[in-house]
Amino acid sequence: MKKPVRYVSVGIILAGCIVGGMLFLRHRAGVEKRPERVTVVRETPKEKPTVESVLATESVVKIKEESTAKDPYLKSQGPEDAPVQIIEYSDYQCPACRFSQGVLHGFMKQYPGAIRLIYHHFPLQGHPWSSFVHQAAECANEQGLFWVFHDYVFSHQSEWSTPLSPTQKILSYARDLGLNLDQFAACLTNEGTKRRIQKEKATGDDLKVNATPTFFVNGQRVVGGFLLKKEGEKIIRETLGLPPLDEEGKEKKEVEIKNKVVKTPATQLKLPPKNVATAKETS
Amino acid sequence: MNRGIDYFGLFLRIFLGCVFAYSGYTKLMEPIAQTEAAIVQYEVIPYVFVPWIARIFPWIEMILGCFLLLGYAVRLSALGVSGLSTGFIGLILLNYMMTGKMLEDCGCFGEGSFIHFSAAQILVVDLISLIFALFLVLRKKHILSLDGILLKN
Repeated sequence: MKKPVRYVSVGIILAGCIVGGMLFLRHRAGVEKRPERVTVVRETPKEKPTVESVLATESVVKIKEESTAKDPYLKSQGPEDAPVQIIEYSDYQCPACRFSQGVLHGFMKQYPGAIRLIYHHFPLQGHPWSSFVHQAAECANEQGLFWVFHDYVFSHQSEWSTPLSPTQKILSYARDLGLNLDQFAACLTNEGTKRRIQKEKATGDDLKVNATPTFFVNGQRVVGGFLLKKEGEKIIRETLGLPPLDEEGKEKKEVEIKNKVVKTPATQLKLPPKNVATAKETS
Repeated sequence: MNRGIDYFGLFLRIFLGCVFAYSGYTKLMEPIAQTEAAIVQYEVIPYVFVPWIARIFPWIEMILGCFLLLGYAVRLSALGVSGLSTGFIGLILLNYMMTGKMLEDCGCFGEGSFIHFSAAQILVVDLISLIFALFLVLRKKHILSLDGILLKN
């Protein structure tokens, strides 16, 4: 075999082995293994799911039973009968989870009263301070200040998520937020609280949560803040019967836009060139 | 003296290979959404490119890292690594100029990795990688490499 041919062939074989090996490892580790949807949101595409139909599905009932009935420490916001239910599994020391908080806040603001958000602890083993901070959040929950503490801890993640122990910082956050420090400090070492967190994490394990943040938007699994913004919002809008959004995040209202273009210059409407051209052609 | 430089080149090759292969490996062993979330932190990257970058770059890092470790197409792989390093340096600086902030976690080694660098730290690592990679590009001979076996006269 000629030298260049042999050289290139070896390269191709090597690259093939690397890619094949990695694909095998990914498969074995279950990466990207998307378990079947946890709930069936719609039986037929045209039917809008009712709150009852979504919440009556087996998995959601299971989650509800475990989180609502048996757990007086449920961390939720939004009306109980909201048509959209988002269950979040996240880790306080994970930057991707911090990023997704912005997306969630955006949803709560954009669809007021339409979303019920339920938070579940999912501290990862690879993050040294996660368990401690989740315990602190649960202690804040016992004093009725979970969401304030939750937002504060995420927004200050870069401050406490360092190689040094975050104990002092967490205590100072608790003080700043007006928590009862004696009660808070006692709770930080409480075994019962620890078990509660582990139990919550176990519900995530049961649902095959293998990455943080993982969301269940009306039972449909969405992993990561980026997909939450893209896919999650799609589910929300479908559930609420709203028109889908375009690439720029604007509602697709072609007919109305086309009518407006006739009267108004495109520059004022800030329409992408493609839409303008279509509108002019059809008008 | 030449022998010393040869071994130094070998050390640089293994170092760069390990860094890039590990970086690719950690990202490939996590769901793509995790990598996407890390990339989204860089606000200068348009959203439309995020899924592509998340899907393609870890494989490039993995393959280039392994090639360097094995010593296959060392100069070409080192050139690829220097290109990636330059790109990362440019991205971090551009992000800093546009947003005024240095990320606390660059997301270069995935979520589950035991290595977590801030953007400022990875900037230094990338600068060092760039220098090392350029050194390898300029070297014609690489000891203990597949190139040495395959291109032997």
